[in-house]
Amino acid sequence: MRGHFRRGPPRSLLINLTPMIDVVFLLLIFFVLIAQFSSRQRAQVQLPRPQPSAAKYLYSSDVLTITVICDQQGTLSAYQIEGREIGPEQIDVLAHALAVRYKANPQVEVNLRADRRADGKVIEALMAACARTGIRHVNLVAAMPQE
Amino acid sequence: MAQKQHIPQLQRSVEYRSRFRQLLRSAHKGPRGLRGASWTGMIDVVFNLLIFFVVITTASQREGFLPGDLPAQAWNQTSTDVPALPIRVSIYAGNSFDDCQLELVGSERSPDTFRQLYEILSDMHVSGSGLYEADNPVVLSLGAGVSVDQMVNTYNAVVLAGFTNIQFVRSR
Repeated sequence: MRGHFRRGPPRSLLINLTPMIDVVFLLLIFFVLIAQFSSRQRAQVQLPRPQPSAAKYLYSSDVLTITVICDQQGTLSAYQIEGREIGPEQIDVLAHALAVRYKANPQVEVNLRADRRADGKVIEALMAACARTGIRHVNLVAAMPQE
Repeated sequence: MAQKQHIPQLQRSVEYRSRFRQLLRSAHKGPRGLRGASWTGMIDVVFNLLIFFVVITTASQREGFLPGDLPAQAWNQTSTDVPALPIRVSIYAGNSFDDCQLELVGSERSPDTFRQLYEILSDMHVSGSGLYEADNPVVLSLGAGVSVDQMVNTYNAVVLAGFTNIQFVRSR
Protein backbone atom coordinates (compact mmCIF):
# COMPACT_ATOMS: atom_id res chain seq x y z
CA MET A 1 0.00 0.00 0.00
CA ARG A 2 2.86 2.33 0.83
CA GLY A 3 4.06 2.05 -2.76
CA HIS A 4 0.84 3.71 -4.09
CA PHE A 5 1.54 6.94 -2.22
CA ARG A 6 5.15 7.20 -3.21
CA ARG A 7 5.96 10.46 -4.91
CA GLY A 8 6.98 10.27 -8.55
CA PRO A 9 9.82 12.22 -10.07
CA PRO A 10 9.41 16.03 -9.77
CA ARG A 11 7.41 17.50 -12.69
CA SER A 12 8.98 20.07 -15.01
CA LEU A 13 8.01 23.64 -14.06
CA LEU A 14 8.33 24.91 -17.66
CA ILE A 15 5.13 26.56 -18.93
CA ASN A 16 3.85 25.22 -22.25
CA LEU A 17 3.26 28.32 -24.40
CA THR A 18 1.60 26.53 -27.32
CA PRO A 19 -1.96 26.38 -25.92
CA MET A 20 -1.67 30.00 -24.82
CA ILE A 21 -0.69 31.10 -28.35
CA ASP A 22 -3.58 28.98 -29.68
CA VAL A 23 -6.09 30.66 -27.41
CA VAL A 24 -4.76 34.15 -28.18
CA PHE A 25 -5.04 33.53 -31.92
CA LEU A 26 -8.53 32.07 -31.60
CA LEU A 27 -9.66 35.11 -29.60
CA LEU A 28 -8.13 37.42 -32.22
CA ILE A 29 -9.91 35.61 -35.06
CA PHE A 30 -13.15 35.67 -33.06
CA PHE A 31 -13.06 39.43 -32.60
CA VAL A 32 -12.08 40.07 -36.22
CA LEU A 33 -15.03 37.97 -37.37
CA ILE A 34 -17.41 39.69 -34.95
CA ALA A 35 -16.29 43.11 -36.25
CA GLN A 36 -16.87 41.94 -39.81
CA PHE A 37 -20.35 40.63 -39.06
CA SER A 38 -21.36 43.87 -37.42
CA SER A 39 -20.22 45.83 -40.48
CA ARG A 40 -22.02 43.38 -42.80
CA GLN A 41 -25.32 44.54 -41.32
CA ARG A 42 -24.76 47.79 -43.17
CA ALA A 43 -25.70 47.93 -46.82
CA GLN A 44 -22.82 47.51 -49.23
CA VAL A 45 -22.32 50.66 -51.29
CA GLN A 46 -19.60 51.94 -53.60
CA LEU A 47 -17.93 54.57 -51.46
CA PRO A 48 -15.97 57.51 -52.90
CA ARG A 49 -12.28 56.66 -53.09
CA PRO A 50 -10.29 59.93 -53.02
CA GLN A 51 -6.57 59.74 -53.72
CA PRO A 52 -4.58 61.00 -51.91
CA SER A 53 -7.01 60.64 -49.06
CA ALA A 54 -7.47 62.67 -45.92
CA ALA A 55 -9.85 60.03 -44.53
CA LYS A 56 -8.83 58.65 -41.18
CA TYR A 57 -10.16 56.39 -38.47
CA LEU A 58 -12.25 58.18 -35.88
CA TYR A 59 -13.46 56.71 -32.66
CA SER A 60 -16.63 57.92 -31.07
CA SER A 61 -18.65 56.31 -28.33
CA ASP A 62 -21.97 57.23 -29.94
CA VAL A 63 -22.27 57.11 -33.72
CA LEU A 64 -25.30 57.00 -35.97
CA THR A 65 -24.58 55.77 -39.47
CA ILE A 66 -26.85 56.74 -42.35
CA THR A 67 -26.26 54.85 -45.59
CA VAL A 68 -27.48 56.29 -48.87
CA ILE A 69 -28.33 53.51 -51.34
CA CYS A 70 -28.85 54.25 -55.00
CA ASP A 71 -29.26 52.32 -58.24
CA GLN A 72 -26.87 52.04 -61.20
CA GLN A 73 -28.05 55.38 -62.61
CA GLY A 74 -27.41 57.14 -59.31
CA THR A 75 -31.10 57.54 -58.45
CA LEU A 76 -31.72 57.42 -54.71
CA SER A 77 -33.47 54.17 -53.81
CA ALA A 78 -33.35 54.09 -49.98
CA TYR A 79 -31.73 55.28 -46.79
CA GLN A 80 -30.51 52.84 -44.20
CA ILE A 81 -30.43 53.88 -40.57
CA GLU A 82 -29.72 51.56 -37.63
CA GLY A 83 -30.12 48.52 -39.90
CA ARG A 84 -33.56 49.66 -41.06
CA GLU A 85 -34.25 50.69 -44.64
CA ILE A 86 -36.56 53.60 -45.31
CA GLY A 87 -37.78 54.96 -48.60
CA PRO A 88 -36.42 58.17 -50.13
CA GLU A 89 -39.72 59.97 -49.55
CA GLN A 90 -39.73 59.14 -45.80
CA ILE A 91 -37.31 61.89 -44.80
CA ASP A 92 -39.54 62.70 -41.80
CA VAL A 93 -38.90 59.20 -40.39
CA LEU A 94 -35.19 59.88 -40.74
CA ALA A 95 -35.53 63.26 -39.05
CA HIS A 96 -37.45 61.62 -36.19
CA ALA A 97 -34.69 59.02 -35.71
CA LEU A 98 -32.10 61.79 -35.67
CA ALA A 99 -34.11 63.77 -33.12
CA VAL A 100 -34.46 60.72 -30.84
CA ARG A 101 -30.73 60.08 -30.93
CA TYR A 102 -29.90 63.74 -30.34
CA LYS A 103 -32.24 63.84 -27.36
CA ALA A 104 -30.53 60.79 -25.89
CA ASN A 105 -27.06 62.22 -26.47
CA PRO A 106 -26.44 65.72 -27.88
CA GLN A 107 -22.83 64.75 -28.66
CA VAL A 108 -23.89 62.02 -31.10
CA GLU A 109 -21.92 61.90 -34.36
CA VAL A 110 -23.50 61.11 -37.70
CA ASN A 111 -21.57 59.20 -40.36
CA LEU A 112 -22.89 59.66 -43.89
CA ARG A 113 -22.10 56.61 -46.05
CA ALA A 114 -23.28 57.57 -49.49
CA ASP A 115 -22.90 55.71 -52.75
CA ARG A 116 -20.44 57.59 -54.97
CA ARG A 117 -22.97 57.67 -57.84
CA ALA A 118 -25.68 59.38 -55.79
CA ASP A 119 -26.50 63.05 -56.30
CA GLY A 120 -24.61 65.40 -54.00
CA LYS A 121 -27.85 67.14 -53.03
CA VAL A 122 -28.78 64.03 -51.00
CA ILE A 123 -25.82 64.72 -48.72
CA GLU A 124 -26.85 68.35 -48.49
CA ALA A 125 -30.38 67.35 -47.51
CA LEU A 126 -29.04 65.00 -44.83
CA MET A 127 -26.68 67.65 -43.48
CA ALA A 128 -29.58 70.10 -43.33
CA ALA A 129 -31.68 67.52 -41.46
CA CYS A 130 -28.84 66.98 -38.97
CA ALA A 131 -28.37 70.73 -38.46
CA ARG A 132 -32.12 71.26 -37.95
CA THR A 133 -32.06 68.59 -35.24
CA GLY A 134 -29.06 70.19 -33.55
CA ILE A 135 -26.47 67.58 -34.45
CA ARG A 136 -23.17 69.27 -35.26
CA HIS A 137 -20.68 66.50 -35.91
CA VAL A 138 -21.23 64.99 -39.33
CA ASN A 139 -18.56 62.85 -40.99
CA LEU A 140 -18.40 61.83 -44.63
CA VAL A 141 -17.37 58.21 -45.11
CA ALA A 142 -14.83 57.35 -47.81
CA ALA A 143 -13.03 54.17 -48.76
CA MET A 144 -9.51 54.01 -47.41
CA PRO A 145 -6.78 53.37 -49.99
CA GLN A 146 -5.45 49.81 -50.13
CA GLU A 147 -1.89 49.54 -48.80
CA MET B 1 36.82 -26.21 -31.14
CA ALA B 2 33.82 -25.43 -33.32
CA GLN B 3 31.83 -24.31 -30.28
CA LYS B 4 34.66 -22.01 -29.16
CA GLN B 5 34.68 -20.35 -32.60
CA HIS B 6 30.91 -19.70 -32.45
CA ILE B 7 30.98 -17.83 -29.12
CA PRO B 8 32.60 -14.53 -30.37
CA GLN B 9 30.26 -14.58 -33.41
CA LEU B 10 27.26 -14.89 -31.09
CA GLN B 11 28.56 -12.06 -28.90
CA ARG B 12 29.02 -9.87 -31.98
CA SER B 13 25.48 -10.57 -33.21
CA VAL B 14 24.03 -9.69 -29.77
CA GLU B 15 26.06 -6.47 -29.82
CA TYR B 16 24.80 -5.60 -33.31
CA ARG B 17 21.21 -6.26 -32.30
CA SER B 18 21.43 -3.96 -29.26
CA ARG B 19 23.05 -1.25 -31.39
CA PHE B 20 20.30 -1.60 -33.99
CA ARG B 21 17.66 -1.24 -31.29
CA GLN B 22 19.39 1.89 -30.01
CA LEU B 23 19.44 3.32 -33.52
CA LEU B 24 15.73 2.58 -33.96
CA ARG B 25 14.94 4.26 -30.68
CA SER B 26 16.94 7.36 -31.51
CA ALA B 27 15.34 7.57 -34.98
CA HIS B 28 11.91 7.44 -33.34
CA LYS B 29 12.76 10.27 -31.00
CA GLY B 30 14.43 12.43 -33.62
CA PRO B 31 17.60 14.40 -33.16
CA ARG B 32 18.54 15.69 -29.73
CA GLY B 33 17.32 19.25 -30.33
CA LEU B 34 13.80 18.30 -31.41
CA ARG B 35 13.19 15.72 -28.74
CA GLY B 36 11.12 18.12 -26.60
CA ALA B 37 9.15 19.75 -29.47
CA SER B 38 5.44 18.94 -29.77
CA TRP B 39 4.36 18.65 -33.40
CA THR B 40 0.68 18.87 -32.50
CA GLY B 41 1.09 22.26 -30.88
CA MET B 42 3.10 23.58 -33.79
CA ILE B 43 0.48 22.40 -36.30
CA ASP B 44 -2.19 24.12 -34.17
CA VAL B 45 -0.32 27.41 -34.27
CA VAL B 46 0.36 27.12 -38.01
CA PHE B 47 -3.34 26.48 -38.74
CA ASN B 48 -4.35 29.38 -36.51
CA LEU B 49 -1.97 31.67 -38.38
CA LEU B 50 -3.40 30.43 -41.67
CA ILE B 51 -7.00 31.12 -40.57
CA PHE B 52 -5.98 34.52 -39.21
CA PHE B 53 -4.46 35.65 -42.51
CA VAL B 54 -7.38 34.27 -44.53
CA VAL B 55 -9.82 36.22 -42.35
CA ILE B 56 -7.73 39.40 -42.60
CA THR B 57 -7.40 39.25 -46.39
CA THR B 58 -11.09 38.62 -46.97
CA ALA B 59 -12.03 41.61 -44.81
CA SER B 60 -14.36 44.07 -46.48
CA GLN B 61 -13.14 47.45 -47.77
CA ARG B 62 -11.74 49.66 -45.09
CA GLU B 63 -13.65 52.85 -44.38
CA GLY B 64 -12.30 56.16 -43.19
CA PHE B 65 -13.96 59.39 -42.15
CA LEU B 66 -13.66 62.97 -43.32
CA PRO B 67 -14.72 64.91 -40.24
CA GLY B 68 -16.99 67.92 -40.46
CA ASP B 69 -18.75 70.32 -38.11
CA LEU B 70 -21.99 71.98 -39.09
CA PRO B 71 -22.56 75.64 -38.22
CA ALA B 72 -24.66 76.09 -35.12
CA GLN B 73 -28.09 77.72 -35.64
CA ALA B 74 -27.38 78.45 -39.29
CA TRP B 75 -30.22 76.29 -40.59
CA ASN B 76 -32.84 78.21 -38.71
CA GLN B 77 -32.03 81.31 -40.71
CA THR B 78 -33.47 82.00 -44.11
CA SER B 79 -30.09 82.90 -45.55
CA THR B 80 -26.53 82.88 -44.35
CA ASP B 81 -24.03 85.55 -45.30
CA VAL B 82 -21.01 84.29 -47.13
CA PRO B 83 -17.88 85.26 -45.15
CA ALA B 84 -15.88 88.29 -46.27
CA LEU B 85 -12.82 86.62 -47.73
CA PRO B 86 -13.60 83.01 -48.42
CA ILE B 87 -11.81 80.69 -50.80
CA ARG B 88 -14.54 79.70 -53.19
CA VAL B 89 -14.42 76.40 -55.08
CA SER B 90 -17.12 75.74 -57.66
CA ILE B 91 -17.86 72.26 -59.00
CA TYR B 92 -19.90 71.76 -62.15
CA ALA B 93 -21.04 68.35 -63.36
CA GLY B 94 -19.75 67.27 -66.78
CA ASN B 95 -21.25 65.08 -69.46
CA SER B 96 -20.37 61.78 -67.80
CA PHE B 97 -20.36 60.53 -64.23
CA ASP B 98 -16.57 60.90 -63.79
CA ASP B 99 -16.38 64.20 -65.62
CA CYS B 100 -16.60 67.48 -63.74
CA GLN B 101 -15.25 71.00 -63.96
CA LEU B 102 -13.50 72.71 -61.07
CA GLU B 103 -13.13 76.42 -60.62
CA LEU B 104 -11.18 78.23 -57.95
CA VAL B 105 -12.68 81.70 -57.77
CA GLY B 106 -10.12 84.46 -57.37
CA SER B 107 -7.12 82.35 -58.29
CA GLU B 108 -5.02 82.64 -61.43
CA ARG B 109 -4.51 78.91 -61.54
CA SER B 110 -7.43 76.72 -62.46
CA PRO B 111 -7.41 73.09 -61.37
CA ASP B 112 -8.25 70.29 -63.83
CA THR B 113 -8.14 67.46 -61.31
CA PHE B 114 -8.77 67.02 -57.60
CA ARG B 115 -5.06 66.50 -57.07
CA GLN B 116 -4.32 69.86 -58.71
CA LEU B 117 -6.97 71.47 -56.54
CA TYR B 118 -5.25 70.06 -53.47
CA GLU B 119 -1.85 71.33 -54.67
CA ILE B 120 -3.13 74.85 -55.37
CA LEU B 121 -4.96 75.00 -52.02
CA SER B 122 -1.83 73.73 -50.24
CA ASP B 123 0.13 76.62 -51.78
CA MET B 124 -2.52 79.07 -50.59
CA HIS B 125 -2.33 77.74 -47.01
CA VAL B 126 0.08 79.40 -44.55
CA SER B 127 2.05 76.19 -44.22
CA GLY B 128 2.70 76.33 -47.97
CA SER B 129 3.90 79.98 -47.98
CA GLY B 130 0.37 81.22 -48.69
CA LEU B 131 -1.71 83.82 -46.87
CA TYR B 132 -4.72 81.79 -45.76
CA GLU B 133 -4.99 80.47 -42.22
CA ALA B 134 -6.35 76.99 -41.52
CA ASP B 135 -9.65 78.38 -40.20
CA ASN B 136 -10.20 80.64 -43.21
CA PRO B 137 -13.59 79.74 -44.67
CA VAL B 138 -13.61 77.60 -47.79
CA VAL B 139 -16.94 77.63 -49.60
CA LEU B 140 -17.76 74.71 -51.86
CA SER B 141 -20.35 75.66 -54.42
CA LEU B 142 -22.04 72.61 -55.94
CA GLY B 143 -23.63 72.86 -59.35
CA ALA B 144 -26.63 70.84 -60.41
CA GLY B 145 -25.98 67.13 -60.98
CA VAL B 146 -22.73 66.96 -59.00
CA SER B 147 -22.30 63.44 -57.64
CA VAL B 148 -21.35 62.36 -54.14
CA ASP B 149 -18.02 61.17 -55.51
CA GLN B 150 -17.16 64.61 -56.89
CA MET B 151 -18.41 66.31 -53.74
CA VAL B 152 -16.39 64.06 -51.40
CA ASN B 153 -13.27 64.32 -53.57
CA THR B 154 -13.45 68.12 -53.45
CA TYR B 155 -14.05 68.09 -49.71
CA ASN B 156 -11.13 65.66 -49.32
CA ALA B 157 -8.79 67.94 -51.30
CA VAL B 158 -9.69 70.90 -49.07
CA VAL B 159 -9.21 68.88 -45.85
CA LEU B 160 -5.93 67.49 -47.16
CA ALA B 161 -4.68 71.01 -47.90
CA GLY B 162 -5.13 71.83 -44.21
CA PHE B 163 -8.35 73.86 -44.14
CA THR B 164 -10.84 73.19 -41.38
CA ASN B 165 -13.67 75.65 -41.94
CA ILE B 166 -15.52 74.20 -44.95
CA GLN B 167 -19.00 75.23 -46.00
CA PHE B 168 -21.35 74.02 -48.72
CA VAL B 169 -23.36 76.30 -50.94
CA ARG B 170 -25.73 75.23 -53.67
CA SER B 171 -25.50 77.46 -56.69
CA ARG B 172 -28.80 78.69 -57.98
